[in-house]
Amino acid sequence: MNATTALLRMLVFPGILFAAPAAWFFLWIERKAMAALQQRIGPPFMQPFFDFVKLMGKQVPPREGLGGFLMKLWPVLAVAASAGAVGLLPVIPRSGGFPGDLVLLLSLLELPSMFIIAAGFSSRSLWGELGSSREAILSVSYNVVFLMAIIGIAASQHTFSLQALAQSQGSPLRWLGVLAILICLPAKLHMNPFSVTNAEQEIYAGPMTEYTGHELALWELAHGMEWVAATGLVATLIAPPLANPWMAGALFVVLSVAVVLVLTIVAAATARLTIDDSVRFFWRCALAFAVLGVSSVLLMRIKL
Amino acid sequence: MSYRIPMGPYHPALEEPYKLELVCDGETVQDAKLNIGFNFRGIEQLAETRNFIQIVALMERVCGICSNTHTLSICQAVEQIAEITPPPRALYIRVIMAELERLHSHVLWAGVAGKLIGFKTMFMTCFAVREQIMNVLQTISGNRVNYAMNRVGGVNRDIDDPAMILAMIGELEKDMVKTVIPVFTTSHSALSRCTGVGVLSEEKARSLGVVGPTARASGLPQDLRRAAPYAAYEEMDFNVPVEHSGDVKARLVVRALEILESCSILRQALSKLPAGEIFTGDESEMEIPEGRGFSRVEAPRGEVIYSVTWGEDTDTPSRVHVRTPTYINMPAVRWMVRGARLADTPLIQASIDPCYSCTDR
Amino acid sequence: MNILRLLLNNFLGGSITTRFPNRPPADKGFRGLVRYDPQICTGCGVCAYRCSSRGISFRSSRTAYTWAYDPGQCTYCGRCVDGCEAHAITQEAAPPPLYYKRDELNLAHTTQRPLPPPKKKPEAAPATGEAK
Repeated sequence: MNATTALLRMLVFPGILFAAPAAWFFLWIERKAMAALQQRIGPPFMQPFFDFVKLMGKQVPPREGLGGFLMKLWPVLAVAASAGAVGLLPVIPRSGGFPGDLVLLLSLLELPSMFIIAAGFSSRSLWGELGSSREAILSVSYNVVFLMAIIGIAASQHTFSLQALAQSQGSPLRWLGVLAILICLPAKLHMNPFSVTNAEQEIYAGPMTEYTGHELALWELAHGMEWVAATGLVATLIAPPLANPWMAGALFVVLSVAVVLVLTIVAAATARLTIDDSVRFFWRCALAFAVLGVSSVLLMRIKL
Repeated sequence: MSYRIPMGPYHPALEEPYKLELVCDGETVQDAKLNIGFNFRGIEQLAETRNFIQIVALMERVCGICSNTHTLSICQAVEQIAEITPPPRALYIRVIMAELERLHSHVLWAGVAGKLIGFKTMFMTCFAVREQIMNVLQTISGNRVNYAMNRVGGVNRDIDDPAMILAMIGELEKDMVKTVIPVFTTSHSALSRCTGVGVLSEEKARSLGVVGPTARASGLPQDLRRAAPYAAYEEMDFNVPVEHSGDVKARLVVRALEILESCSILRQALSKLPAGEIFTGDESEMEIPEGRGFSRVEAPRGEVIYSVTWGEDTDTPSRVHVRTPTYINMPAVRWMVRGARLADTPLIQASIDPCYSCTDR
Repeated sequence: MNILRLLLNNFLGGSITTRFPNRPPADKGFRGLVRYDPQICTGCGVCAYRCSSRGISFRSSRTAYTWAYDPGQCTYCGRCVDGCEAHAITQEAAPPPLYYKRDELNLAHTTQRPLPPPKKKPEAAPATGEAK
């Protein structure tokens, strides 16, 4: 991949220019599906975009000093990080990529969560601090499972390149890894049952409490792009390799939407767990998947 | 790290303005302080300027959810002063309205509890079920919230078609038994938020004098419909559900069982509805003599007490005193939240079904 | 698994909410806006006596009486309708309409009392009501 194609991928497809509408589309699918499961009409198709425009037009109270600067900075960084993550997705096979881009994707997926933690603390709101500490505790817990799953998949295919992973065949270990990733996604995307970070009935909007206007709009956009990147990662892992690039692209989108729908159904069917229950759940998960992973590796060895 | 967390007066978990100041150690609540009075409207004082017809419409506005309870209590108190006995049909219609109100209040509470544990689907389902009850209420009374059914000496509107209402009740009970109750009692994530949370022991409950479902969930078998029957409750056959664990789940179970009991009472009342007049006395010629009336009614949240004093030769009362269940139950929240997780406090404070428009009236 | 069945039923059942200007139909006995027929009104003023929210005001003099209604204050309790012996007051069986200007729905009727009659008992008052 040379610099021009990298820049094009970052800025045009599937980077920022594509990622923003995709983010709104995914947010809309999530909201509409949630409404359909709750006997409601749900928002019109353009609603996430309207929300964005409306928030962009709102006045932001002046914030001075380093704290104010940091509060402005975090959402921009979050958008940049998640747009970069979307840009790395191999939507169309053989379109580029470099060895080890999976590692970069993982770190870019992790960054928004860190920016959220930082934003909550720099907003100096009580609710922001509580939400940030919850997010920190939660991300430490779910990332064990998440990273373990990714490393397991990558190790089983002997590659850290997304392109190679997308082209390779599935194995039991890989499906185990996808399952583990799916379990972590609600926590990553602040969905039920792990929506402790922004549990509005407990701590208002958590780290976002002090945000308004275009800063909040950027956070929403970053959140939508996280949706695209995270579901796209799952779609990459489960999509069977296809020769036709258009077919492959369409399949990628369909699979991503299917993952969104699965997550929405899980969110609609559950209540919010408390932070200690969530942490306990993820550490138990980590244990279970570790046992399963090690035993499947051992079984494969025995077969060989 | 010790936080002082203000919950309210404006908070997504509270339906009405009041303030719970929580002293927290990390995410564990150590103590709580309660502030009320953000919503004071001076209704008791206003009642002293209203005649016996207007006062019923006024007291209806004390509470948006248990409005019928308040009109029922004030009518009973004024009837006691004027020594009027409503006809039996009116008493049965009063029971029907009171039970429909209990139904919709409990279903609403279940929905709010679902919302507070982040279970939005439960919230939507409960409100969809509640909408059926609201339709029954609207069919009977002509309004969804303030029914204007009670008057001194009887009720304002007759129930013309009990069969249709019986059919609606059957539909409703099917929905409750088939969807709401099983979902709530089998959802692991919902149960993990309710079990063992906000425990109020029986001794504490007795010493604090809590009333209504809060008391019944702590093992105190008290119910005014049984202990001091009013309207036509003497002729109804029903159980008083009592739980002994005293946690949020017990309050949930008590309310769920009360919903089923209410359906059974409604069915009895509608099928036994006696014929006859729906009110006694001509309002245009009625005079309220000097005296004091006292009335107790089991509202959905617990015991409501009205004490009405009428002066000599006036058409307005000289004092109306109201004691609402939330005023009695709210101090118990302090004992329930001690040692609880911060995430559970919204649910714990909601588990007594607080109504601040009643309390602050 | 109950919850999944519930979600499936919800999904198949379609939405039960409606968009904003639509309203569910009201029942036949719904208590809506108060309507007044000056032709039938006898000018007794009981409605104002019964009105708790002071939504109905009744001013009377020797030559005329004025019945005024403010829906903004009305609580739609229906006491005035129950108490009107001449049945001059009725309620619409529909939820009150939306209105955007203050006092847009206010009504006031002034009815001239008949001149002091030669007979002891006057006939029903000839209504010359006009909306203000």
